[in-house]
Amino acid sequence: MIRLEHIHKIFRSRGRTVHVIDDITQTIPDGSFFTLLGPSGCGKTTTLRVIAGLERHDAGEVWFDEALISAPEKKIFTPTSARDIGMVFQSYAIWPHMDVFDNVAYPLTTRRRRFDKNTITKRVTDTIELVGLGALLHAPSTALSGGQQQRVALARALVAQPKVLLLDEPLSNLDALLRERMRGELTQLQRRLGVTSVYVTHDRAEALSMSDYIAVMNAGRIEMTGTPTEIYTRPATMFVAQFLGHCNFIDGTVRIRNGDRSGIAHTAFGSIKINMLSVPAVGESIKLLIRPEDFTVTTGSAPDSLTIHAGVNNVMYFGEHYEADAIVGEQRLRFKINSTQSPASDTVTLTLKQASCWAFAGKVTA
Amino acid sequence: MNRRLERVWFTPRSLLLLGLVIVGVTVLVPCLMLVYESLSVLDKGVRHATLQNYANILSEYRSYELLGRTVLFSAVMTLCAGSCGFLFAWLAVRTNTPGRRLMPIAVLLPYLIPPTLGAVCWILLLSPRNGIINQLLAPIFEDGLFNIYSFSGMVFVEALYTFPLAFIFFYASLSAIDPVLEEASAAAGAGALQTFWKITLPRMLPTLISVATILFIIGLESFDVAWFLGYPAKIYILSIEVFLLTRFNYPSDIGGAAVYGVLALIAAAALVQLYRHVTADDQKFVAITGKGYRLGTLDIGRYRWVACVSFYTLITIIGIIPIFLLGAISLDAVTWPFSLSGTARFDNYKWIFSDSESLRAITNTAMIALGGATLAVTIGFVISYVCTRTDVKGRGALDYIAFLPFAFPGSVLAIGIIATLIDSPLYNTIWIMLLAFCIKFMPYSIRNISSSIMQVHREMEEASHVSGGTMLATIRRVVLPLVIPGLIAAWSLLFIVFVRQFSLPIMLSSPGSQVLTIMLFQEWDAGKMGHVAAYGILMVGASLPFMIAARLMSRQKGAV
Repeated sequence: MIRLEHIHKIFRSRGRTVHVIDDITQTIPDGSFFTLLGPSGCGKTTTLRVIAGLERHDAGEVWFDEALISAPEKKIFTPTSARDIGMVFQSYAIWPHMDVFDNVAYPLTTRRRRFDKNTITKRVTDTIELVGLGALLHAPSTALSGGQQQRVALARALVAQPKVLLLDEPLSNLDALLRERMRGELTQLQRRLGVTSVYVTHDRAEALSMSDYIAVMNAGRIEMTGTPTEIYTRPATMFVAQFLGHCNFIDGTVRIRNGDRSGIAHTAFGSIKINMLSVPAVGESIKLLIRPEDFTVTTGSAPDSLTIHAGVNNVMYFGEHYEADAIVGEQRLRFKINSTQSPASDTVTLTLKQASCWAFAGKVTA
Repeated sequence: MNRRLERVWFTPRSLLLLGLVIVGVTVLVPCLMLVYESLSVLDKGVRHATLQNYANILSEYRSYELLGRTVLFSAVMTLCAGSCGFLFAWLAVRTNTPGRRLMPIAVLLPYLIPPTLGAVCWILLLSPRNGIINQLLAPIFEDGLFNIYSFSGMVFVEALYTFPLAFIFFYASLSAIDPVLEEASAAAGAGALQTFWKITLPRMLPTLISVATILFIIGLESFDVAWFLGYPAKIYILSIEVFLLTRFNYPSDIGGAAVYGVLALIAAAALVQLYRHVTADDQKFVAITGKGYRLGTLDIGRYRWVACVSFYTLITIIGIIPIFLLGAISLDAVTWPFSLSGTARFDNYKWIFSDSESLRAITNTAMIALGGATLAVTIGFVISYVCTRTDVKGRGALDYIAFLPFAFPGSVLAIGIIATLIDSPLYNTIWIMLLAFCIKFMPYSIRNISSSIMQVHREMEEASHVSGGTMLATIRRVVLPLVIPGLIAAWSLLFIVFVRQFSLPIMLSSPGSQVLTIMLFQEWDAGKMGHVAAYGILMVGASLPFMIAARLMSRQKGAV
């Protein structure tokens, strides 16, 4: 288990100060695949590097289980080389002057862990097999493709069986096809080994498909931590909602409260059940979050849902689906339909697939 | 070594301290001694604090003339060498000039010729009565058209031999810049000339300023050319005056020399600061080198032939003719007035390898160059590593102090070293020269090694740290193997520079500790042209393999 307690990190350069990490507190459970997701500059990589000890934070504490690893206020700092971690870098950082075997064997030959020759050979061979590079055991590392380098980097990070595996955007330099394949392989490997993994990415598809938990970061803070479905379907903030995909917002007012977390709202297109973190008083404004794929094209009307008659504009073909804008008065609503139902006509009637909507307090600010 | 001891002793901070102690003792102490000398006089064996030295120097009109001439010399030289270097580098990198690929290699040929030899060759070509060119022109211009023993002669020769350096610097930075902005200008309808004025020049401004600063500093500390060409005509610049006051005049006026030294020190500090200021953002460029941008995209039409012919003519004049001339003279194949005899004898070479004084000079030079280059690379690596790869506080100071000697004229640095070591057993040995060479050229060492360290991706080291490697293990197993080619290149270049160094030995050598350049000068003074030429060929020949090694080893083209 990794615990981050009130971590702060400030960069100063040329008179400007940037709060790169602004009071982050987070627990990362043992054996989980934990992803730090956010736009570039949000502090996700810095957070990872603080865990690795490659970056020194200014305040707060880093715990590995019951061991205090780093706490500037208490003048405690365990150097990176003494932390029980493995790390995969964005550039892979495969040492060009060593072959595949020597690269992978390196963590078993440092002062911290020194093993006899047979153990090293066995563990290196096993790990290289594990990542599917058995045939390249003694290949010069300069002859490797990007995908192969990525696997060597992974093997090197895993060979010493560290308590924590850190991954800094490891898939971002691969081409699209390979990236998708590696997503699956990496997740399976992690589940099999059960190593606590912290994964940094800006790619929401990677985060959603691979993680047990995701922490969405923005401007040095964690906006929300949760499972992929929680993050996607019940985002805590507008930022989280928008970072995970296109959002349509529809104004409404609360008509009935069913406890604190659900109720019924009235909109220009009908009434619908809502779920919220905290439903405001009856009569207050709210906005419904509707993802493009929540819409479905209909011919009739839905009594317990929204029914939207709209003009169609801006149809875009994506292969497996179409996306288009539904125009209602001033509002544009992006909707997504199967490519089998070509949106041929100029008008469309939309309704929702599900019986309830996630909502935020306040009006849509257009 | 046990793990805890390693933790305590091999930290960035202890390396920083080591570096600070080294540069403190070798750079700051001589500087302070220089200031001390300038503020005191020795009267009947007793030192007095006084401003008399300053009063003496600053009250004379001649001093201002000297300082003005020094600045003018550097400025004109910078302008000539810099603009030629930039122009040809731009032609080589960006245009379709024929032979452009060979240019960065061809330019190393004149770079092989030490400035001392360059001066000697141009005296042979252009001295008023006996110069070969003046002799050829004698039927038309009776008294000799050109006089190399003049201010313009000094500037001319100095600029010729600084030009390769300017070219190399500009070539490196131009090829590191993506030509897409220039292509965008062409796409917008601008011609080659407009693109050059409106896009290339403004974009290159920081590089222009930094290279100009380096060239200006080279002018300020120039000694060899000014000595061979200016001294006979009594046209002095600061570095020469300092030498004359300390070693030539009787009684010597070390206090007065130290005053000039302090002035040079102030100028050096300011110039180094300017250089560091404009190159502060330069490291961003380093990150994008090696991408291999397409070269030679701009069509300059018929002018490309003009460009090609003028470049290779220049190389022939400054590189090939002097080497040919020296070779012929060293083989006694020339008779005066100038004509080639067609026979060759090896007497001059026999002499330089049999005369005991000459042999000792050769041994001394070899020892200083080999030992000095090794020492300078070792210390340079430690300092470069601390300054580029750690974040300890105080590394900026280390970098700054280590860089200072870059801008000192050798003769000024030598006064500081003499003042520091005059009572030590090192004085009058070759070791004081070895030390002085290392101090003076440490900035070159650091600059070269830093750029090779910076080419190693930081994550290469971090990958070692996360694998459990300590700083020492990481340096030994990851950093050193990756920068070895850079270290060999830096070592080779230092070797070349040490062989040709003249201004430090002329201040520091004594009858037992002669080096090649001093012998060369002695033989020149005695009129033994054959010996001079043989020494010249020896120096060029000794430099050649190291130049090739450096060229092969340095992945970065601008590492010279």
